[in-house]
Amino acid sequence: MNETERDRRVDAAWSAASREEPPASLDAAIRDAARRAVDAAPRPKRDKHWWYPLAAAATVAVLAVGIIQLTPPEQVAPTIVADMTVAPREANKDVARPVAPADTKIVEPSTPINAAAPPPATPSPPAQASARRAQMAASGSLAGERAEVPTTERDTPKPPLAAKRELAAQDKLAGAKSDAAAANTVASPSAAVPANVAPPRSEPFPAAAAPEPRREAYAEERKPAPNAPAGAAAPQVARPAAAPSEEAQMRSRVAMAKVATTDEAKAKEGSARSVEEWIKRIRDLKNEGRLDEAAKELAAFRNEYGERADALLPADLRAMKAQPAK
Amino acid sequence: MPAPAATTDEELMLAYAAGDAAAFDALYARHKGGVYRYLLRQCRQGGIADELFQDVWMNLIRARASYAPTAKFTTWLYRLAHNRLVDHYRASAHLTLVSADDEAHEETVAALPGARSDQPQVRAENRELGERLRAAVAALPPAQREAFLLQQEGGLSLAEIADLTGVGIETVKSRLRYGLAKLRGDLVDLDDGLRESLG
Repeated sequence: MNETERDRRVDAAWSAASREEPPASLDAAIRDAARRAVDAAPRPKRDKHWWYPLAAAATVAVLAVGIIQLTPPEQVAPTIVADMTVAPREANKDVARPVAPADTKIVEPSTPINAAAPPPATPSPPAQASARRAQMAASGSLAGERAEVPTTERDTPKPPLAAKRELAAQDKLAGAKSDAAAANTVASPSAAVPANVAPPRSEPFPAAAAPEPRREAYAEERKPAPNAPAGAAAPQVARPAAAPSEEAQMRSRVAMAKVATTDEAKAKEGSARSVEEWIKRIRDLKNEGRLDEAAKELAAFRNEYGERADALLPADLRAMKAQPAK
Repeated sequence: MPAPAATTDEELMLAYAAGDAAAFDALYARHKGGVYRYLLRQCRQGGIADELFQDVWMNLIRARASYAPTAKFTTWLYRLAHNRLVDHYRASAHLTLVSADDEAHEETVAALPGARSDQPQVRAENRELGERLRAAVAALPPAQREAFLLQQEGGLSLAEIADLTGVGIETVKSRLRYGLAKLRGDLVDLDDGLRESLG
C-alpha cells in the first residue's frame, strides 16, 4: 500500500462503523451559547449614559424654578434697585447738608433730601412716609426703604447672597420698626409731631426761634463719625426711618429741647416784658390812686428781681414803698 | 437564514464572527460529528467526550473574533480539539505517548467500551464490524490513533496533521502506516464481511 494513499477498505469500514453524534441536548446548548455570544456581542449601540445631560438639564431647570418659587418677590427687585440707588445716593451726598434747616428735618423721617423746605401744605411726614411706603409696596420696589437703610451698613461690600439675605432681613426689620414708629407717633404726639405742624398747645413763639446753640449741638450730634465711610454722611434724614427707636429717642430729645427752649425763651420774654409791664402797671396803679395794689406789684417786682429791682425801677418808683407780696 | 451549502467553512466562520448565528449553525452541523468522534475515540468515555466536545466549541465561540482564515478551518477546529484533549490528558495524568511501534495495547482493547448503543445512526447490520473496528482503533497507540482519527474524522492532510500535532510529515506518515497495518491485521478475518457490507 502506498503510504500516502488511504486504505479505502478501512475508510469505508470506518465510515460505516463510526457514526456517533453528540447528544441533542449538547447540540442545543452549544447552539444557544453561540447565539447568546452573538447577541451579547458589542454592537454600535447608543451610549447607556445618554440620559445624563437630559437629567442634568432637568435638574437645573427644576432647581431654578424652585428657587424662584421660594424666593419672595420683594427680594428679587431690591437686588437690582439697591444697586441703582447707589448712584443717586452718591450724587446726593454733596447736596446733603449737615444741619437740617429746622427741627422739621429732624423729626421728618423720610423727607427727600432735595426737598429741603417742604411746603406747608404738604401732609405730615409720617403721612408722607406711610404714603410713600404704600406706593413702594404697590410698585413692588423697596428702593425707598433701601435708601433709608443706614449708609454705614449699605456701603459695606458684601457677597451677593449675603447681601440679599441681609437686605431681606433689613426689609422685614425696617417694616416692623416703621410700624412701631408709626404707633409710637400716634402714642406720643409731642415727640413725633413736626414743627411745621401746629403744636397742640398755643405757643407764642415758633419752633424756629429755638436757640441756635441747641440746634448746632443737635447738628453735631447728627454728624457722622470721622472714620465713617463717605456715604455715611449723605442722607442723614434717612436714619430715623431705618431705626425707629433711635428716631423716637431723637424725636423725644428734640421735643424736649424744643419745649425747654420755648419755655426758656418764654421765660426770658416774659421777664423782659414783665419789667416794662410791671413798671407800667405799677405806675398806672399809682396814678389811679390804687396805691395798695401798686405797692403789691412793686413788692412782687422786687421779689422777682431782688437786688436788681432798684436798678430796673425808675427813680419815681424806686422810692415807693412796697408792700410785702402775699 | 441558513448559510448556503456552497459557502466554505472559513466564510461561515467569518460570518459568525461578524454576528451571523446561522453561519455557526451551518458550521456546527458540518463538523460536530467528526469532532465528537475524534474526541470520543481519543478519550474513550462518552461523558468526558461530551464535556470536551462542549469545551471545544465554546473555545471556538470565544475565539471567533480572533479567527483569521490563514489556514483551513478544519485545521483550526481540530487544533482546538487536540489542545483540549492534551489538556485533558495532562489533567487526568494518564497521557501515554507511545511510539509508533508500541504493541502493548492488547489488554486494553478488551476493556474498551464499544460504540454507544443509544446512537440511532449505528446500523444493526454493521454492529459487529463496527465494534471490532472501533476496538481496533482504540487499541492503536495514541499517536497512531490520533493521526488516524485526524485523517478519518477531520479529513486533514498529512501536512495538516503534522502541523497540528507538531511533528514532521514523515512522522505522520509513519504513524499512519503502522496504524493502518495494525487495523488491517485485526480486520483480516472480517475481510469478507467488510466487502459485503460495503457492497
